[in-house]
Amino acid sequence: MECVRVKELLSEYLDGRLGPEITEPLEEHLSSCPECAGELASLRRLIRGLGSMEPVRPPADFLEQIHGRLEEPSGLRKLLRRFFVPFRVKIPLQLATAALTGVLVFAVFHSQVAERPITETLSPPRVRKSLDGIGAKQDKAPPEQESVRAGTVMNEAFRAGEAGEKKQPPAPALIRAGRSSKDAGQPLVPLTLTVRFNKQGEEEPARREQAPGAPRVSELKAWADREDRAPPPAGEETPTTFSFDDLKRLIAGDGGRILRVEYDPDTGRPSTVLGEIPTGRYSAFLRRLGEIATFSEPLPDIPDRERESLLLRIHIRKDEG
Amino acid sequence: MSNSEENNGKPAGAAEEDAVLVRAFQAGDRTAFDRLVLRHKDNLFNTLYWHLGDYQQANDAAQDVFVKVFRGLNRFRFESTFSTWLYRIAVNTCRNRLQSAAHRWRKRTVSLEDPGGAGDRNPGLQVPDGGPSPANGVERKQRRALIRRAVAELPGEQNRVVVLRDIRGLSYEEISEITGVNLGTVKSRLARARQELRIRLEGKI
Repeated sequence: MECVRVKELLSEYLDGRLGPEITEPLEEHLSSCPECAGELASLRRLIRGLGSMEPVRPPADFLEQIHGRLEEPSGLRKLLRRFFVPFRVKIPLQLATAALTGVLVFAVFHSQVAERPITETLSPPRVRKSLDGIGAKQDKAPPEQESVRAGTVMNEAFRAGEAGEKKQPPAPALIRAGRSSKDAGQPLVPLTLTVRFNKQGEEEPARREQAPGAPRVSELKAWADREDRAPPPAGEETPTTFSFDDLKRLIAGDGGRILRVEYDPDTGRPSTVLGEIPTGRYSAFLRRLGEIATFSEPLPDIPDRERESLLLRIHIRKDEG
Repeated sequence: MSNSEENNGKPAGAAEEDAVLVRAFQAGDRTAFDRLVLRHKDNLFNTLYWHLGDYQQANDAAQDVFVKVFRGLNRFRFESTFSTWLYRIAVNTCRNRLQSAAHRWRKRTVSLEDPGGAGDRNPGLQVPDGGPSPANGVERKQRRALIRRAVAELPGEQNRVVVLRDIRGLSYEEISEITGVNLGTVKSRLARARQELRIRLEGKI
């Protein structure tokens, strides 16, 4: 029998667990192998030493301690008592919790409904005295309080100078919100632009002196009298719609863009232009717009200067006067 | 040590005496529980002490065991002896304590170098007749501390079998029944545990 095998069996051998068929060859090996014999002796000393350890006794009041433990509520019972209230309190609490949970779920659900327009009403607009030549009236409330539909914000960067853009601008309803928390619920600032049309061939004089580079009244007339009454595809250049092109250039020049054009079904002329410009360009835009048009209402101020952009709805009215 | 006539270190009749007390308890005699405690507390406590390596831990664990026994004694169905059932509860209690986060933390922060210190506190320790001198007492304490540390540092599964066999004196079959492992595993774990202790304690005891 090999030493490795002998050493594996020494523990059982000392416990008397081996049968004679194994014990005999093992003892024969031990009689001739000092190493294995030495290990056997060492193991025997260990087992005897462990068995001879004086027992460690429990404290004298051990039984009394157990009685004390048995008289206390068990850990589970303590836990139940601490965390579970009587039914008369528990049921109302559970109902209240269920109701609160329902309210929270409702609130979260509705807050995640996308593209819901936010309606806000502007206070009577203030007129900024720095807008020279625009003819704004000071501190006068508009005839009627106009509800402004605050659209949502395009989630695209402004593109300046894209007068030739042929891309179909999205309808306001398709404008997605949420570019930034600042721009959510962007207010729509209405601007009303008055264009004089020449009736019966007469060319009416300009209401004020035209600034250099501003479109002439005759050009505006040509645009107003165009025979083509079908609304052109939005964004497509129409040389006869002079003021519309100017408007497009104005908006693009201020780092904004035309989003939508609505046409009068009777005349085929642009009636409303929806555009977007950077908030910081609003003043300059109003100044330049005032050079080609006359504002029929006091100019609204920017309700929130922290916003990055503004939506503008420009109503182009035919002066019937 | 021959276990042929013993049952958990007690005479063969001990199992029957336990069974009588259990039936008495189940019949409503609560004092039968106290008698069971008094019959088994010393051996159980000593076993738990060697399992856990600490007197106070052993005391807490022993009380836990007997509280569990009290709460479960009415459901005891004599499928094993009472003693086997008792030590099965003790082994599981020790295993849970050793695996607890509190014990791991305690093990990291409390040194086991405690020759004769608080961890070796044992009011019942008697000085052997042949050695009343203080030197013998110190030596015994130091020797005991060395062995206690070596046993406590064994892996849990080896610790359990060597304590049940060499401290408590149970048979391989009883150890198999208590721990729930087969006989071959008991043999191999015991052999490894003893070999490990032999190497660690060679020349020191």
